Amino acid sequence: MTATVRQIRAEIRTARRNNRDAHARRDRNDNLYMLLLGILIYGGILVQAVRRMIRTPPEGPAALPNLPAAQWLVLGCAVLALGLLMRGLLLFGPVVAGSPFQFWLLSTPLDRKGLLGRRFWWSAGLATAFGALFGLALSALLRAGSDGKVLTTVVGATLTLTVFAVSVLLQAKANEGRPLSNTLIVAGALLAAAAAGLSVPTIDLPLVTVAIAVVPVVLVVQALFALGRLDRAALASGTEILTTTRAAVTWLDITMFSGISATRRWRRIGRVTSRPMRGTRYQAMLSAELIRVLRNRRSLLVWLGLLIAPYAAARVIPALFVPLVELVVCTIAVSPFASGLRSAGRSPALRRSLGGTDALIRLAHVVLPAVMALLWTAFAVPATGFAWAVLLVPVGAVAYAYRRATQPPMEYSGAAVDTPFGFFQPDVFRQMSRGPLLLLVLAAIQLNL
Amino acid sequence: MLGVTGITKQFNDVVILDDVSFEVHSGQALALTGPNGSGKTTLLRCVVGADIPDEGDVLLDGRPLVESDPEVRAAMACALDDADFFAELSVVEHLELLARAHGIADPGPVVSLVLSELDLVGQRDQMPVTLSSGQRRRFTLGACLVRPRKLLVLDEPEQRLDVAGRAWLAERLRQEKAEGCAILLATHDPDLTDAVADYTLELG
Repeated sequence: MTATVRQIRAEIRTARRNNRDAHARRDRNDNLYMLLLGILIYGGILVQAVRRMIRTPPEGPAALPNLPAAQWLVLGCAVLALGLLMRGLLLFGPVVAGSPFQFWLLSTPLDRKGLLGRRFWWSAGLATAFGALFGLALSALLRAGSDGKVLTTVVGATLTLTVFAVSVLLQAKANEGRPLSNTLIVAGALLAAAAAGLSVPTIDLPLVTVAIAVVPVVLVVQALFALGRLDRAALASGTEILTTTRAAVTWLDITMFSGISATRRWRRIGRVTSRPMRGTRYQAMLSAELIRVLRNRRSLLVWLGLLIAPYAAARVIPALFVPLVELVVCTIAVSPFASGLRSAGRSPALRRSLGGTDALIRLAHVVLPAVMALLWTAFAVPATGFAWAVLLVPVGAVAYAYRRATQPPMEYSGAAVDTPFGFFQPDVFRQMSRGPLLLLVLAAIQLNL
Repeated sequence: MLGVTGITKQFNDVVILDDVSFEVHSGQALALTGPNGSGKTTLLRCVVGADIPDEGDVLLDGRPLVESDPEVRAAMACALDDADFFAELSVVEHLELLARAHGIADPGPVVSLVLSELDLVGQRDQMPVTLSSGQRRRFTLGACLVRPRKLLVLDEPEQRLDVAGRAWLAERLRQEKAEGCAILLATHDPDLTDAVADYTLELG
């Protein structure tokens, strides 16, 4: 007779208890403590931020000057975020199983739905809570009344749970869900563009709209049954990226994540139509940069799509803060064009094989991000008109890209300080100074111009 | 061409290299041999400037070898284990870029020849990340062969090559020597050592 999942879980628990010496028990307690502390700290920050937003919404008058535009803008951003969330969930799994779990448990005839059920419910719960908090925060941004708060909170929870359930259903079919996530992303961008440029009506839905919460319930039940169809390939696909993401979060080194994400993308694409280059030496490096841009058209679309941000900001936030938005968004828009700069900047082996001096190699690879930053700023100028603060936008975006690309690798072997909030690497300060702090300084200068 | 004097390297109290000295002249090959962990790769990394020795000097044409010096980069082609790639460029684009970056205006013929010799014609349009470890090894070797060079530094170039590939490698390295190139290689293959090396330095 095949054992049940419940029996196996109990046996594993007992075996762990019996085989664990005092030292290992202490380790487990430490891990548990760190987990709880993490949940308390990050969860607490999130909850406090939302509570504070509800009590005292960010700068501005009690009623928004252009409520319809703000509503449609928020709606557009939310739809876009759902598309990105689906993309992200399908990158990880969303249901993931680590190697020991796969090898020792998934290879057995045990009921797969039962084995995966616990992590499914945890993920579904987290998605719902995150969506609800996000919705509540948006209602504060829009200065909604109590009905509006309930509505946006339920809609937020409903939509994120729906996206999670749909992602699991797609995972079971080994479908990357690109058409669906792309549709959401494009629809969100179009909605935001409409909010930035057109006269739009106010959204005033009745409270009864919360009845749409029925939709994800149906989908979650379907997704739960789909767990039984998840094969090991589907469950293993996210393990590598999950491990890397954990490391990236621990060490605050987001490049670890972006690196593996790019690797997966190019592995999926596999083969391309090679293009001829022009010139020699640094001219050839520039030519290679152009090939990269033409190959990476998604970056161009994102670059173009992000131009909506300054126009939307000009309609809904005080003029003083619009250059700030431009600075941050331009930095994001330019970042993909600095991939050549990052590769050359971080790999001495690559620079060694390219030949020439380090300075000129970096200069050759900074041209493209600089041109894209200047063009982006030029296209964004009509949103606000000319202001001295706008001049800092391309400078800041390129400086950020350059500093991040040329930062020395994170020093993992250095001493870590054991604080009550967990281990902390002093090297993180140095890493911060290579980017985020630079942006902060530029933003402060912008506000005082 | 290449002179190494008194290289010493240790990690904490573990001595990896202890006062290693040798010279390699144009048209000659020196093979570093020895068991795993004997310091072959560390020595190569110290020679090319990827690692800093605790003591000792590395000279190229009588001048200290500085890895970031453009003249050193022009003279020295390396295939070590730290090879890196641009994620968005295909195999053939990498080879063309390297050749052009070293001043070859029309790299088409040499790139085609190297792809053919390394049996990478079928992979020319693939992204490096999709290559198998053997193909990647050959690709790294190809990156050294599409550009002008006076010194070749190779770390176990025979790895993951089949019998025919190893025969080709030996022949190609002999040809490099005949054209005046100096070769420093670490290898576990006694046949390759016999076929190519003028001198052998046993480490460990």
